[in-house]
Amino acid sequence: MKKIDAFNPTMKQNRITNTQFILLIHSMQLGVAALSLPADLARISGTDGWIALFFGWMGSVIASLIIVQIMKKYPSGTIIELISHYFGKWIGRLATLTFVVYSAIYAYLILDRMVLLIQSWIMQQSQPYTLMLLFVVPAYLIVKGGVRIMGRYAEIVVFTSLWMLGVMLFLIKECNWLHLLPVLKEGWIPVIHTVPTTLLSFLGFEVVFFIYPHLEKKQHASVNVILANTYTLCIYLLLTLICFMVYSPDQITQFNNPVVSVVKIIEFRFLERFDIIMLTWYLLLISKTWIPALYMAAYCTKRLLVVGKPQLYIAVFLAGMWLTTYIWNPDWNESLDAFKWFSTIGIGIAYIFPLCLWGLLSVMLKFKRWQT
Amino acid sequence: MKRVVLTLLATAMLAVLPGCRDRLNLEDITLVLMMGIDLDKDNNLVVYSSSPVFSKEAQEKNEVTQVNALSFRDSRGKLEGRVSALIGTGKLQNILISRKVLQQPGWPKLLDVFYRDSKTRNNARLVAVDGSVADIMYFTPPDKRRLSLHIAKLLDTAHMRNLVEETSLWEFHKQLFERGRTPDMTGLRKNDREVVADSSVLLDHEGLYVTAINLEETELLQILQKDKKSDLSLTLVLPEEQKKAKSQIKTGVISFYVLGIDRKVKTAYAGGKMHFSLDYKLDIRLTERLFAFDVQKDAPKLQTQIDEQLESQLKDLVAKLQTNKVDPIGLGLFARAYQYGAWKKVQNDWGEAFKKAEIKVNVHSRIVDMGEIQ
Repeated sequence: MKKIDAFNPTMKQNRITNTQFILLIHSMQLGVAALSLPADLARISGTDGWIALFFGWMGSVIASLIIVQIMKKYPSGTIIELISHYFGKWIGRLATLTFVVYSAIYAYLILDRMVLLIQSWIMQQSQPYTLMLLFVVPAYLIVKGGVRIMGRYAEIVVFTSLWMLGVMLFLIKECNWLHLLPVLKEGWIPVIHTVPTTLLSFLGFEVVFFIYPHLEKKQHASVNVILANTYTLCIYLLLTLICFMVYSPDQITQFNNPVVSVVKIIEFRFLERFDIIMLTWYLLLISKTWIPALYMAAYCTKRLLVVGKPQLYIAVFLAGMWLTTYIWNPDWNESLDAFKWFSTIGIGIAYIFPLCLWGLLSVMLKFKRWQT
Repeated sequence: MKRVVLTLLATAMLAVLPGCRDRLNLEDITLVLMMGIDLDKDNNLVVYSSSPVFSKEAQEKNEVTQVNALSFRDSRGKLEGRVSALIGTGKLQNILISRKVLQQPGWPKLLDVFYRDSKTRNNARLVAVDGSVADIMYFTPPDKRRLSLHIAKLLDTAHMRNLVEETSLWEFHKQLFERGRTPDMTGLRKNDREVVADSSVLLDHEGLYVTAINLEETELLQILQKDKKSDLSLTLVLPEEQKKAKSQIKTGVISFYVLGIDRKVKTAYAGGKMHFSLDYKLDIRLTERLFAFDVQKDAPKLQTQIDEQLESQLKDLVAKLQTNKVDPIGLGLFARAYQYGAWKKVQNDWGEAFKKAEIKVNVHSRIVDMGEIQ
């Protein structure tokens, strides 16, 4: 029997279903940003911030559809094979290197933020590198399994986390609709200023670049990306609207992670401190954002260096991340600054790059010489 | 070989686990159920803590300590030097604040630790104490359970019957930063025999003490706020029926449950001030009537009498709120929602604008049930 290479997109064993495809995209999107999103929106446009989510959603749907269009032009490989195919080996290598750096930083920043969250909310006295170590082994095991295992992991985590939405609904009795009125109180200008923030909150759909070749039914890809983005939008809307209605408008801007803080007020006779329970479970959801990014980094490195097993690269990346935290140990401010800095690159990679590439490919394919 | 390496690695990682330094044994925690702050004679801040003792040898089942401190968190170390174990505020039930503290500008900043430190509980009740906090903290009524839990239950049940306002740390934060309303909280006092929760304290935008309202006024306030919890029972003396009375007993008395409150708020802005028209539809169920009346035939007449009486009481309360420039009803929220342009001019001093506002109150009661006898 042929040995299964989890990192080979063309192998039948690595195919993923529509659900897995949708949930992988969705889970890349929904991560640490969701916890602070309502306050981030409120700081810019008050309680009208939720309207901007629709624009962010529109932007991300368009960008994801463009990515699908690009990937259709070389359905058997990921973006780096596609670029090598059309633009040659060296440009392909450059693109691969870019993706290695991009996804490695992506994975690190989110993993580090996740550790900071645990430290801040649950274990103030523990060292971040100790906490980080706890996530290294499971992450290694999941990434080693390739896209199909990540897809299954995403399925399990998303479906077992649905109860959290139910718990959020307990907050409805604390809601006051008057906070949302009047709609568009200062006109469209503040809402438009909020759109970049919402565009960033949908980052993560660029994973399509890497999981598209794994999708079993490629004809459904467009519908799937729309569904994934819409599911993310629904969750963002629910969280944002609940927070806007529970917090008073001038109060929400004072909170760093309003979604965690708001859960603090839910109490049952038999269970208190829901914030701790929810946050602990939410760590699983966060892990789904950086684990695929880690896969992307390991996959690209494997393609770049050719030699060696992918397992080795995963281990090296994880060790590198742990070492970075051990030496650098970023604090909250540094983490926030790093996210801000990184989001500019994110906009470039996820929104501008696909648009340019698509334009370029469409023009090129007009000329027969390039068609192969 | 590979297996050996993996096993070694796993063992090494296990060895790191005790590196989590947050472990705390339950027997090393003193669960603070009630805290209090007051100013002493020389105006130094005093912090009190009350926590249960689970030792069989202890005579008293409650441990109360006080220290002078700059703030709540500053008091922690000092308290830990006195109580049996380490202070944990994760189960905090009540925070007693003396009126003297409530009159100090900037006192809400003292609560910062409860919002900033993720380990505290945000649903602890804030209680304004009329008199000395020490009197309540050290009070051990023989016929009650631990006072911290007794007070928690007392406030919850009184609030359930709409007798007092109840404000948690979280709600206080929300009200304090809501420009369209002013905060309120439970008022507590101690007489010779027991602790009494029969008033609500109204604070201004800065959280400073303004005035207190009694039990009946609080019931009416909760109607105005449309914040009825469970049973809301009102007793009125109807002047028209009282006129016929020939005895020392007030026979014009009527009592009823308010079953449902339907509130309609109309807002307008004219002549440089806000206009509010509050329209209440109340479904009521008679529970007591000390005068003769044919409800079946003349229900509308009785309803009108009740409406008039309720309206006048509600108007008195609104007038009292307006003269004190406090808006616990939250009419500012309606102003913001429906008169945004006008609201923006007054949003930084809503208390003043509320005072100037014209507020009309209309009550339409409907007797849905006269009770079991005619």
